[in-house]
Amino acid sequence: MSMMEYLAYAAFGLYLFLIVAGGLAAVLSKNLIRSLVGLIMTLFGVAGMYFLMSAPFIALMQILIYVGAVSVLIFFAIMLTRAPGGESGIEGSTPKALKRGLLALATALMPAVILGAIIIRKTPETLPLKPETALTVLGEFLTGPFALSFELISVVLFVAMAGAVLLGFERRKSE
Amino acid sequence: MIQQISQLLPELWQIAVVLVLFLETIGKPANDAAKPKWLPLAAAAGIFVAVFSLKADGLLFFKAYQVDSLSQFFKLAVLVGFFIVVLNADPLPTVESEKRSDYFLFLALSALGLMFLASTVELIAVYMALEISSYSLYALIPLRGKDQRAAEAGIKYVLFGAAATAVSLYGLSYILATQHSTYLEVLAAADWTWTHSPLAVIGLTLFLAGFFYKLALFPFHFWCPDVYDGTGNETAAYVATLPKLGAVVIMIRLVAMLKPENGIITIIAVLGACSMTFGNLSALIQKDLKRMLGFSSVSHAGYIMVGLSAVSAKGLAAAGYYSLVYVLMNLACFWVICRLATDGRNITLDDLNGLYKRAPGLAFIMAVGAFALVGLPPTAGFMGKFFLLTSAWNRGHDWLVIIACLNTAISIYYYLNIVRHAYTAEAEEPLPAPKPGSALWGGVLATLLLILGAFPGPVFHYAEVAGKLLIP
Repeated sequence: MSMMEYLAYAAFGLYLFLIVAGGLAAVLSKNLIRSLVGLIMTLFGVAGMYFLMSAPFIALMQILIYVGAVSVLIFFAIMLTRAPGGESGIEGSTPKALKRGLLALATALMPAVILGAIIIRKTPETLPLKPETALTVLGEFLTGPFALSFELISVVLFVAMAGAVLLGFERRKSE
Repeated sequence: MIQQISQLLPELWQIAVVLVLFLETIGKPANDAAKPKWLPLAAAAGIFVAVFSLKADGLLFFKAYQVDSLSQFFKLAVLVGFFIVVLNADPLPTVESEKRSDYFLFLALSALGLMFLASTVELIAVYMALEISSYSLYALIPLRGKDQRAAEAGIKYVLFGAAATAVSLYGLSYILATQHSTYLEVLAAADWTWTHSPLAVIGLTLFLAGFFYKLALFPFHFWCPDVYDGTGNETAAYVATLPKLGAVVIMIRLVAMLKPENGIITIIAVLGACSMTFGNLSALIQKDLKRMLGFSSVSHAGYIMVGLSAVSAKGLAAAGYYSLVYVLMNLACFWVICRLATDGRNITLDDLNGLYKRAPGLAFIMAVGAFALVGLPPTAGFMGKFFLLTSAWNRGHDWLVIIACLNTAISIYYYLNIVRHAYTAEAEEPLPAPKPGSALWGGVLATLLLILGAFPGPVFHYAEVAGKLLIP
């Protein structure tokens, strides 16, 4: 293996660590803000993966949209609704909680182990890709073969926003 | 250009309905209690548009959108269902009056997503169309006044739905990584054997999980009874019926790519068998009608798998025909439930007592619906099951056919229990009689079920033509 390959593996490991650690922090933290910071860490890790796959445009978009816009939006949502904390509904570490944790762990590990074993045994061949896909090619893909999906996304976003408005108004009224 | 527009007429009609509803939601005065009166008429016109374009044929949007007999059949089924659901949601007692146009907007959007789903032949577009229909339901399900159960049902549906979607997308990434395409046209020619491309097989199985969820197939069924139970009766009538059509049409298209001896087909058959057995056994002890219908839909998802596991034109046609019949018979049962629940409460078996005296029309509709769900002649349910079982016999899954027959025997108990309560039990205290004339459209549904049972030929033949396009 050349130097570059070692570096690539090291970068892969680093990003993987960021993703997993961020995900765990997001799930396990009792503080809503800390959870969000964990989520942001995961999103950065995913952006790194895009860089590694030589898709810098997607990586930058990931940082710009998810880390930049979406996370800030969630921060605002937390800020405007209630004080951070989320202390309610936390159960102590009773034996039952321990058992539940073990079951959850087993459930999470089973597919990972099976899928991992199959991937390691039957690794698909890597395709020789061009180092970087030009933006114009990307645009042609979105307006060409994937034009329908591209248009449908806008309908999905419309439905999501209108639905949020509908349910949001309901909550305000019932308070 | 003109030709392309003519191929998209049903979708364009539905989009127009959505747009008008949207304008109404943002333009209406604050306390306008009326439900859009034009909507049933527009939905009925949609059925005519769909019938008119049954023969449409073409490949649009860079080959991502296939208009063929199969898609037109399902679009017609969706529009018929949408019409009935709109009529059914007439009093809508549990939704505040100022939210009613929004309610119908989301119903229409969800139906639109299902119509897209019927035609998309590119996996990312399939996913998008599925999301359009799911997101609309995420907004609809919690709308039941201030009922806590509805909020719980909404959260369950969103969370489980998000998890199923994540699994589905993960599978899509495997398909993309091994087969390098998302177009069904290309994927159909690809190798789907376990020995050559195990990752692709895993990917497709995971991708199907999203549709198993929509169908409420075991082991993705757990949301189904709770959501039906928690959400409003009118919403449950929609959630229980139309989304299944969208899931079935995609599964028909995906299964048609595979060979009968493929491992995925075995998985589908095994899940179908589990689904039938589990659904029927759980339904036996239910008292709440909507919960019972929830478990019944779990078992019906299993029956549809019988047709899919045959992997023949006839099997696919039987699955399509049965899903249409399934929609009609469930809508018939929900019609009665919604008429009886004038205040929007949940209906139990005891609420049906003495129904034959109070409302003979509704009792008859309920009886036809229940007989059809069991699969007794002369209803369409019998013909649907007959087509399913005969198409699957001698196709390598004979054990599945036997399990399906045994399950039908089990299910007789609880379906006929409904009829027993409606016809032989007497009400202890006098219950209010439903409004006169409330049986009209339910009567039409019951008649349709009887007609499709007596003369299934034309509709089934059309479905078979559609099936032959996929598996010659």
